[in-house]
Amino acid sequence: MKAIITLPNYDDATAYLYCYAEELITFAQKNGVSIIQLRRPRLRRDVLESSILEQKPELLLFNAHGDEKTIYGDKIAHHTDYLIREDKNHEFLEGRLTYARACSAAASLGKKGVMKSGCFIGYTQPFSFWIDTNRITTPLKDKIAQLFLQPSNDLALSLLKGKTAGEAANCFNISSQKNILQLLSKKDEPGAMACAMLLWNNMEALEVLGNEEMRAVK
Amino acid sequence: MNQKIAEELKKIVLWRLETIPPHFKLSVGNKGSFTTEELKEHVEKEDEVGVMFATIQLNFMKALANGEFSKALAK
Repeated sequence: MKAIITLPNYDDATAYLYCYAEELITFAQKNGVSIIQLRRPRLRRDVLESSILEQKPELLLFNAHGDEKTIYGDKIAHHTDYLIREDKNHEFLEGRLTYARACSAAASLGKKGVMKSGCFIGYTQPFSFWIDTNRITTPLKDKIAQLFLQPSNDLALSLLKGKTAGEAANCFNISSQKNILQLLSKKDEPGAMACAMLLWNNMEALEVLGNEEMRAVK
Repeated sequence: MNQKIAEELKKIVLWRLETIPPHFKLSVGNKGSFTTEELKEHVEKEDEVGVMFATIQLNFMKALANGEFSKALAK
């Protein structure tokens, strides 16, 4: 299996995604997945496009900021360039299995990207999470953020293991539900319900578009 | 002026924010990261971030009230 993973790291949100992506890269490398890592200075649209054309990866994993029509790349000199944008280069998603750990890209871009073939897993609303300001420099020790980011890692790990898109999304939901139930058992604890609320929001926002039975071939 | 967040909802959202520990910060994509104090200001101003946070709260309350939340957890 060949995969591409994008790794921006320039603000709180992308720093957390960057750290959590390490688990995915380690898993891929230990399990014979050829994983192309796009981080600064290679986190650019031209590099992404040429990597897709030349390497023909079955799986695209985007850690990124996003909006309804765009998945963004790196931020350089206050400017964030796009990696994939609707009506610009969305055809690069066609025929592939994509997971966009990014805000809102499933609302429109994902639909257009896999209109003919492929599968796009993403969020129709902002992907949000609480972070612990005491742990902001050590994201992997942040137990609050883990409630939200581990389910999304579980989804990506399922795809790397060759599970179908539908199965991987189910894995995200089960992992999120488990965390919600854990929070409800201590709902009087400050912040527990606020965490349950965001987990619910992310579950509601997750969409699998296109062929749910698609899997990245091993 | 059209109100973007209903007065009752705004009261609830501001009250809920009071219950969230001060070391919590909300990361919401490319909108940025916000402390609870900053979120209160956004809700008061009814700007994009404030409306978004109030909508998340409203959707959660609806799911709790109509049984959708407990149904999903029971699966």
